[in-house]
Amino acid sequence: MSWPLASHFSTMLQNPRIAFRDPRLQRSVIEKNGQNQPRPWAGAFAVVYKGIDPEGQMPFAVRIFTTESPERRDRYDLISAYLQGRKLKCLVDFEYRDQSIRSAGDGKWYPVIIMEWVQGETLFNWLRARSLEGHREAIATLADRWLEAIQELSDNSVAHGDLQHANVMVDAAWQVKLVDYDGMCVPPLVGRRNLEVGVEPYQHRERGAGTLLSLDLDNFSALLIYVALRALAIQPGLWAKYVEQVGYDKLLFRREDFQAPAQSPLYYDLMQLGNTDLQNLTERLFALSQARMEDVPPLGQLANSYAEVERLLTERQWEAAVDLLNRRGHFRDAPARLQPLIYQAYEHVCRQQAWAKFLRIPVETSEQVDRQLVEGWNESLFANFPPAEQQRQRIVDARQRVQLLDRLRHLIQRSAGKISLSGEKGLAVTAAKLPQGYHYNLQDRAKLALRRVKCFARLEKALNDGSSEAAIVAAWKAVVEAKCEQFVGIEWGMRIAVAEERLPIFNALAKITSDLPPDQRDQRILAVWKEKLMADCREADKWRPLYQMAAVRREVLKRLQASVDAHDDAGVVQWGSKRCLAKYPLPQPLAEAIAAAQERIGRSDSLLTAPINTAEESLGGETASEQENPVHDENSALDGSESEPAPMPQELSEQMESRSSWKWPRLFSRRSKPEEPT
Amino acid sequence: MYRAPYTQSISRQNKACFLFLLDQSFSMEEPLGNSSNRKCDELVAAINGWLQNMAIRASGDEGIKDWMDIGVFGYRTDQQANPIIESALQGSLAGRMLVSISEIGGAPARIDTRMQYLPDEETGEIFQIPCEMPIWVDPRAEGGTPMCHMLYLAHQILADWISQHPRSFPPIVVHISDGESQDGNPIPYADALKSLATEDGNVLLFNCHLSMTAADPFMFPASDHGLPDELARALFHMSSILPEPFFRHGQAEGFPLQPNARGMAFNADMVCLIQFLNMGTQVAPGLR
Repeated sequence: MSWPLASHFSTMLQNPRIAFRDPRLQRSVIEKNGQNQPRPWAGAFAVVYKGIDPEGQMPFAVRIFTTESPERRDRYDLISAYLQGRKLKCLVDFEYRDQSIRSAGDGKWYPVIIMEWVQGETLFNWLRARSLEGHREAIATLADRWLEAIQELSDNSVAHGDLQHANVMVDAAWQVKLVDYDGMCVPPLVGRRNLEVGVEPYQHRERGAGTLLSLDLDNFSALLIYVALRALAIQPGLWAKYVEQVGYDKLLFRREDFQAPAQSPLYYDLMQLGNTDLQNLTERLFALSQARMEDVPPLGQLANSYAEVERLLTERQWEAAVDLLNRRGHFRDAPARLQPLIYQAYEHVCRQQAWAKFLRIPVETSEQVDRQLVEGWNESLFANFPPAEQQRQRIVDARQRVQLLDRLRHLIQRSAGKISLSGEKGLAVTAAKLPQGYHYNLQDRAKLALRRVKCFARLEKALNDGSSEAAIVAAWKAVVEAKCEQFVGIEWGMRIAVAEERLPIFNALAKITSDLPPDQRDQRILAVWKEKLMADCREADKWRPLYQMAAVRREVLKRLQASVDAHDDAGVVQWGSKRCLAKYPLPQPLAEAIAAAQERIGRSDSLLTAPINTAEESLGGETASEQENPVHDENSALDGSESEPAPMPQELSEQMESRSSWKWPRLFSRRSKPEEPT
Repeated sequence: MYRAPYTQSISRQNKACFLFLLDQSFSMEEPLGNSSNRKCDELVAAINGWLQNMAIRASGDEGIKDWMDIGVFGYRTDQQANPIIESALQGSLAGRMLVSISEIGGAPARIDTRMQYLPDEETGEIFQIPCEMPIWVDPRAEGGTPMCHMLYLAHQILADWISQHPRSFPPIVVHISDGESQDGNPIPYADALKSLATEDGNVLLFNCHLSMTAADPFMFPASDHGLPDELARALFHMSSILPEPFFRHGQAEGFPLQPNARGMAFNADMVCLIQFLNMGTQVAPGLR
């Protein structure tokens, strides 16, 4: 029968280890006050203590009942079950636990509610502080939040049952959280006895012990608090007058105001604030306080009066009107005559906002800015809006660039990572249409495409031209570096391979200079030359005479040596006097052998007059087409050549020139060659 | 507009007022009812517990709300039989007639560490728990019982208080004694006290008689028939009839109340005393 006193539980909470049944709660710490007693927050039927969970360090609320209520358990179970999974923003999690806290009075177990600790202030304290500092904006915001919270309850078919200044918490983000669910009604509880009657003056005068639970239980209290919030948002000074200075502890209103509105100074003040919406709400509140409780409509319906909106609209205060409409959340229910004005107001405000945003876009030309421009331009709002029209060309240009950029992106996406020459050409062509120095995201990719196209063209030109193996190899290297080898077909590939093989030969040939003695020159050219590789190579043509000369000389020297060895004076003289050996530094024994043979022949009386050998003219034309060893047919090649089909390397041309005026003796004609000298 | 009496909700503007009148005569040395403890010890334990409880119940976001004035008085006589009527509050509040609940909560005379012995509900094991208890009132037992002087002072104090709080819930006076008045017939003084009224109703005077014997207590009798003696009958007539809200609350608490039941307890033990003390505070509307 006799329920423990709050002090019995308070005493117990000095020792959570013994006070609680739950091991985790046993390890918790209860916040203390200045006298080292557990710090209480009292409600009508319960006292709340703040606990700190030693594991999570999370604060929680321990709600301990100070009266007995036989249905409490059952009701909390139904409320818990109903709220399960609904997760209302304005409510906090709670858990009803039977037999969980011991009383110091009788040592028996009693129920508690463990709930989330709401970090914040009661609505009373919050509103007191904001009113005294004159923070209208905060209070107006809270009024909106209040409307939202009440709407949320209503949308979820929940009535709190005891809305009042101390059961509403306001957190640091100005969010509303409702606490104390003892009087809550959810659909399964509709029609049950009302175990508590709430607090004056928040409750309708008909609310009493006989009131049954219903989902409309909050209608009056929600409206009263809303009117108080709206009024304080307009005139925060009302707090000082109606609460602070008179030591009142509720939100502005008191029972007497409703008993005799005509004598209520508060009623008078609210009607004088010059806000038609507030006037309407105040009138409704006072009228409804005298009406039947069940006739009080939900706050959502009442808050949507359009008087103030209409005033603002007719005064063309578009921003204020839109602000107010936004706070309502919707205006479907606006009178038809206001609809065009509401649209006009929204259009105006949207245009102003859009234009202000547009003006913040930096004045420069880049993809980022262009995209902002295109996005920020609202044709329907900006058309015929003079400041915007002045900037139209800027938008047109930006749009064109953005289209190009989109095309670039599209091309890249379409290629799906595979590159092709035509694809790269497309990219390069598109990118080329963008202005010089324009910054955009795909810039590097577009540059690469251009590089690929260019290096491919260079390769193509080098191959078509074919005059420079080095150019072909260099162009190929550029292609490889640009990672587009796949553009090059098999035929080109073979040609490039040949060029790569030829290039070191040309490099070696380039080192053979005119200051080298002829014997060394011959030696080097014969060492590097690969006739098979050099065939059909135009670039090689300029080197070919030199090579042929060296080859002829090698053969002549071979035969000269053979004649010396055979003591054939005629042979020695014949080979030794070949024009290709002129100025050639013969080895000493050979030079002496020639001189000796000439002397011996000169001493004889029979000097021969041999027909003139014309081999050099015909040989010159033929050797160019020789594939194999040019000295294979000795008669056609051994004289060396005077014809010069290919241009001569500069370093050698002087020497060759000096000889071209020189005539071979007729003695060494081709026709006389097959005959062995006698 | 008519409003039923005893329905004014208590707030900082419409404060409540509780007055405790404690018999401090020598007989309070005797043990109470079924216990071995002195009546005066049990009484101050109950009063200290009540004050602590009220301070908790008045606690809100910013400490203790100032919505209640409280007076705790003791009455006794000195060796020359001169009545001593004074505030029983100790510590920094000593000598004050009425103090607010926030002052009570903020200034106990001291914090005593007491051993609390508790049986475990399930195992029967006895716990011994050191508890820190705030103390405002200390026990006293000397001299006689100058009840009329006490009621007279209470009248003065409340007449003054009511003039300042004309719209408040009416003051509740809880008088606890263990014997007869020794300075005259208390009934006219009690009537005078009960005749004081705010707009919300008359001052309520509840009387509790503490007994040394373990006889059955009489709680909230509706007539003086069947009361054991003159003392009981005198207390009956001194006590207010329970107004409607109190009557309903008493029924809800399980007391078999008859119409016109009075705020009186006779032969009360500790349990009765605590129930009796809480009667008033649990009924006064809006104590939150």
